Amino acid sequence: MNTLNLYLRIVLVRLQARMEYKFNFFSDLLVTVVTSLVTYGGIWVMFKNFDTINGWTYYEVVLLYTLNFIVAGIAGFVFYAPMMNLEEMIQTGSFDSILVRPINPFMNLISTSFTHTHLAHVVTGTIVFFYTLNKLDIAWTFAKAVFLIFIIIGGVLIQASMLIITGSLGFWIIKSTAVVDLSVNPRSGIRRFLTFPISIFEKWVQLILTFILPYAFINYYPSCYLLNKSIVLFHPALKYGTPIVGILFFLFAYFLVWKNGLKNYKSTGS
Amino acid sequence: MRVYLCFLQNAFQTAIAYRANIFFEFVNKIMALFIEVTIWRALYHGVSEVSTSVGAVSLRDMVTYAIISTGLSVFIANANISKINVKINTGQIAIDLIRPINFKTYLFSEMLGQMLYDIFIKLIPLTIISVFLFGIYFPGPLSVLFFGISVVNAVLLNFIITYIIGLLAFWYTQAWQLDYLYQYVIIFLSGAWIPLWFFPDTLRAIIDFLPFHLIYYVPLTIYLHKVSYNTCLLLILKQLIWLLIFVIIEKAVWRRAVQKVVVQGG
Amino acid sequence: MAIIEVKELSKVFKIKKREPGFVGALKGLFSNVYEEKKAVDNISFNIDEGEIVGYIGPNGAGKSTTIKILVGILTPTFGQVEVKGIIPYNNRQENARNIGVVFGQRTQLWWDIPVSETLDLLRHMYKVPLDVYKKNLELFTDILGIDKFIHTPVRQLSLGQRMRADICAALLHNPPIVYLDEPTIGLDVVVKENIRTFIKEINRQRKTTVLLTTHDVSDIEKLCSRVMVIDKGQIMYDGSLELLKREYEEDGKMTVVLDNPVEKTEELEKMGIEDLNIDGNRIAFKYNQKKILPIDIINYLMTEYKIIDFKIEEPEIEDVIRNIYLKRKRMAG
Repeated sequence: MNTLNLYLRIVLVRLQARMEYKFNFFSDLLVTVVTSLVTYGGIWVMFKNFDTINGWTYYEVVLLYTLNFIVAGIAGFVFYAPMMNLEEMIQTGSFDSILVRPINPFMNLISTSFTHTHLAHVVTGTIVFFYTLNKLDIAWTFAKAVFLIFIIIGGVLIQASMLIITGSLGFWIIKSTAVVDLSVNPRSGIRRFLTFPISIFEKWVQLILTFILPYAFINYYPSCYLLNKSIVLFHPALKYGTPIVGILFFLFAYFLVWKNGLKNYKSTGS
Repeated sequence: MRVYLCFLQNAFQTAIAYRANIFFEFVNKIMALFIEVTIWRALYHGVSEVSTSVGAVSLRDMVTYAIISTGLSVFIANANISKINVKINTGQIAIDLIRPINFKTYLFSEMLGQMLYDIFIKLIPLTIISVFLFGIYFPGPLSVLFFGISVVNAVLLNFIITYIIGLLAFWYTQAWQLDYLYQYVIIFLSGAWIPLWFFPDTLRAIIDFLPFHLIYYVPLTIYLHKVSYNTCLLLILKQLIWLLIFVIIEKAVWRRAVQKVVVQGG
Repeated sequence: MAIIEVKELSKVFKIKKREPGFVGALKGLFSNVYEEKKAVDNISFNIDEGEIVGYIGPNGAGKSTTIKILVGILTPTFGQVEVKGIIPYNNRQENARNIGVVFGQRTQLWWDIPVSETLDLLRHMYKVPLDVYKKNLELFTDILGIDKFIHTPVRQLSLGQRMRADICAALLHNPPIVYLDEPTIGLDVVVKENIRTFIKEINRQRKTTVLLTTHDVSDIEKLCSRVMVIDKGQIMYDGSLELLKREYEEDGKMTVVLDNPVEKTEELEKMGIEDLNIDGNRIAFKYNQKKILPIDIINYLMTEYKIIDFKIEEPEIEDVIRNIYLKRKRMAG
């Protein structure tokens, strides 16, 4: 508990430092709103000319994308800045400063790199999310509502894991920031596969996105669950997979990738 | 002149130096293209064509559109905004201004160097793969000529627009936001992602009024021969007019920017 | 029992071969040839509690590598290291509580928050009791004048202020061992003096063990009783500073501009000056530090002439090391 306090303290100090620039937060919000309008706008224009895509209607696709959007926002809020900074810290050797301290280097990195920029992302995403849920005819039950929370958490863990894995690549190769971006950028990264239902792709793509890079568990399978879509691939039980996949993938990312990256850094220096 | 050639070479060499980078950038583009094509195919499932103001748009049209658009994006995009922003933030700009070289030409040379690299390393393999995987529509010779001209104009337009936005970093400290905004806005308003034919009328009118569609939509529409040859010429003329406008704007902004550095020390 | 024990330590790096030029760059895309670099080659030493040890050598000699291994952020290829009974690279966090580190080339402070905030955070991180914290702040204010910039964000500090802040941060939790990697680099004389005074005081009060790497000979002279010279990964000399100076002394060089041309040179030569070079009003010469001090030369010159300008070049570490080599070569050959 002591250590958790410390991390929170560090985050608070950094947040305080940033809040001095009040203008920043609102301009960040503006940028987020405008840029997310692009994708929503694109989807809107598309559906002005076409009725469905693979059986999914307009609002269903919006839900699909929004789920992806909000999960990326929350994961990015905690992990994006640290993982992007990591490459430079390794190259310049300032990562040593992280290792000199008597605390867990992962938590050290996460807390000291904290920036607020994804906050606007999270806020916007949440608003659109509830708006969309409203527009859809979902048969809500208590179980569904609770599971929704687990879906979000699981999804965040999956996206976070991808950020951690790609960021850790900085321990082995240079220019890992490009790969980090690939893992979370909605326009030019893997997330691009998720804008529309992955059922539009061939089986092998779906396989990869389900069993190797489990992005599909962020929005596709949960959406099938929420919308009671019977169009589901492989086994219908995948609909419920998100929380478990999230936890397992995160453990993999932290213990097998991050820790090994650290070990490699300590043996090769900078 | 020699000096600028050096910058070009440098940019080219630097780009090559990062091995992993090449691989990932290329995979990125292929992936993006693959996704686009799949999306259009899925949308067109059960639909043979969509009627628009320029006539019927078939799946084949859209696949070609996506391929050519991706190909263009490989070398039209440049890093001007972030480059200038970094130079200003680190103070490097002061050194750049002391040197007896034209800042704009210097950036242009670097951009050309990067472009060469992009064309060889990314565009050519991309074209080969696309032709094999997806099948592409080849236009007539006159269209190709007009297309070529419009692409050159597009590159110049994009350069000067990003250059001006980059210069704004002299005043606006959060220039990364401008970079981000521009990247997204370009995708939507330029027709890089969705052709303007699909846009509802009011939105279309606004977009036509702005210069961004001249960067992607115009070359693409010329390539697909969705407009008459006369209109092609008019569109190219429009590109040139806007180019001229931006050059004038750039000169004014640059003067103010240099003033600011000299007076305030940046 | 020594507080730092290093036994047969070696560190080998694998570096990818890179060829220059355009063709080389292309080749680099496809080749995978590595060459081995021995940054640290079988070194051993012990340091006792309370010692202030200078660790000197040319750039690339292996100083930083040694420090990194001692700090625990680099794992050795061979050999053993124990710091206060802990193996640093195996028990990094435990070891970290016992040490303070200052990397002269970059800061360990958080960039955009005031120094005071960093120190407060460190207080919590290292679990420093409040009274100890306050007492240390007083000490930092007394000798280093930290109160003058303690509320300034780190990015706005001058180099001298930043270095002082880094040193305070490193010593805030009263670590028994402190590693200073070029702590005075780029600083002006006044700040350097303050820092040296501070280190001496800490060492006196708390018996803090200090390992100091530097290129500044004055740092060594004023702080260290013991010096280790490392070059090409090997320890060339490990002993007292006095002995080092006596054995491997290099002459100092001095240039003086006087108001009148020099005529009588016998006095100067008697004082032990060598390589005398007269150019009108300007004289340049070498002097042997064992025989005479610059101040004596100046004093003499002032009795005969007026001094317009003078310049003293003290022996560089590189010169001393070169001398060590030459002597070794002579002894071997």
